[in-house]
Amino acid sequence: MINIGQFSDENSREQLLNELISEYAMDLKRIAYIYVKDKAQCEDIVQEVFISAYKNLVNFREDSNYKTWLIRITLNKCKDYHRKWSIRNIAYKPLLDPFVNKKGNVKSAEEELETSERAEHIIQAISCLGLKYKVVLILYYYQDMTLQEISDTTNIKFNTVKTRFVRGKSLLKTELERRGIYYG
Amino acid sequence: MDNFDNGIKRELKNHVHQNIHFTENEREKILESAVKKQQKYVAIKLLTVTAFTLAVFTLLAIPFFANPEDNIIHKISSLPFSDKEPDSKGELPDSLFERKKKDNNQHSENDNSESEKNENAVTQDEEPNKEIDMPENHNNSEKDQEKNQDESENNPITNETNVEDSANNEANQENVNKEIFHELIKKFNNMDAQISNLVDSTNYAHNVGGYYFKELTKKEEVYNHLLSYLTHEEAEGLWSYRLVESENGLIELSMDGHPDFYLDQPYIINKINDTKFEYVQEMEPGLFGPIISLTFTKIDDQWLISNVSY
Repeated sequence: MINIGQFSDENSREQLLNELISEYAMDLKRIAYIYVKDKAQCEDIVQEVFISAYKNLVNFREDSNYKTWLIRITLNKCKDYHRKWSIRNIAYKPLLDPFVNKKGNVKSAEEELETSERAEHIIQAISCLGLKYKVVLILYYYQDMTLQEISDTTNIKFNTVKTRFVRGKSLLKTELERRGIYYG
Repeated sequence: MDNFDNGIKRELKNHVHQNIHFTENEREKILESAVKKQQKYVAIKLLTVTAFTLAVFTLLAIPFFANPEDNIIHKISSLPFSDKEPDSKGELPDSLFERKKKDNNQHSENDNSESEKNENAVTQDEEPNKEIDMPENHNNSEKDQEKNQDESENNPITNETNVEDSANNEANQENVNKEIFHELIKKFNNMDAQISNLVDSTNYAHNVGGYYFKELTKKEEVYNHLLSYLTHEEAEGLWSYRLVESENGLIELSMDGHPDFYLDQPYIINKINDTKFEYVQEMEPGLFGPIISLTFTKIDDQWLISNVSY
């Protein structure tokens, strides 16, 4: 856990930024990726998140921890991304290079492709949902947050989060089944 | 959490963990951008402050540079206590600052030659305990001037100086009347005693803390006693707060009198314009000061003290 006290000095802000990147950049990038479905775009979003955080470090109140704060910034940046329509969004882009296996798994190419396709379907299905459902589902499924934690992070009432989760999960299930993906 | 939830979590995490990574290159980009933006922000801030400072400086300097002719720094009296504006001092003829004649012999010597006159002027500056004389005293002897004119006919420089002095003296003679000013000052110095004579010193108003006037019942009547040397406005200003009109009569409150202007002490004369002169004198540090100034204004062909400040 990063303690703000040791970074309160103006000269240590860069050091703090470095620490925050090491700690949270990966997760934030993945959240952004699930949200925007665009690898290049999620890189930009993460960059903007940390620059924004760097500028506002002096204003950071310890009402929440850095993780919650950064996730909130990331989600807001992702929403901004949706609002800013651009021609590149209509160009075809594969989600990921299906033939790149960075972990060197021993699965066959066919299995790898099938797994990847299912995951892409999940991401696409999530992205098809409305914004209010998408945020709740991403934090729940990827960040393993409880509904209460989601409520705290997004500043949305717990009951509202709960309602959105139930409704969003139902919509996701329907969409995946429509795509032929079933979970027993 | 059911199978659906578990399945989604597992597949989603596996997928992004395998395919989405944060590289060192991205870290460098972020750090670089953050520092650059910070530097840019600081530079913009610095530029803004600089521009603002320049703008303020320019605005303040415009009046100074716009009309340089109005910004001539006039020669200011060496006396440090004068609060008169330099403009009025610049108009004061040099001859106003000539020393009081010590005796007739010395004065006649001064008039004998122009060069000797100049030497004496220097001496006057060096002797502060001499009264500043009015120009009329230097023109007492027209005959002497005529003599000087005869002598200076062969000297063009001296001749020009004489012409200038003559012009100054003529102008000042019309506008300045030292005797009148001195008379007014004497009356001003006697003002407190003058009013005290109107007060019944045996009739004390305990509730107010002052003495009743013998006959006067209104403030206005007191002012009227002063109008021979003060303007009404100044008389009111000097006395209104010292007087109380009560049912039993007019009361002069007990308080310190006004400071005197000492004609036998050094003072300076400022000509503000043809109808306004100012006498300024340094005061001993104390209840009043550090200067006392009397302003004389010609109103309806009569010189009156129009302002007293101390």
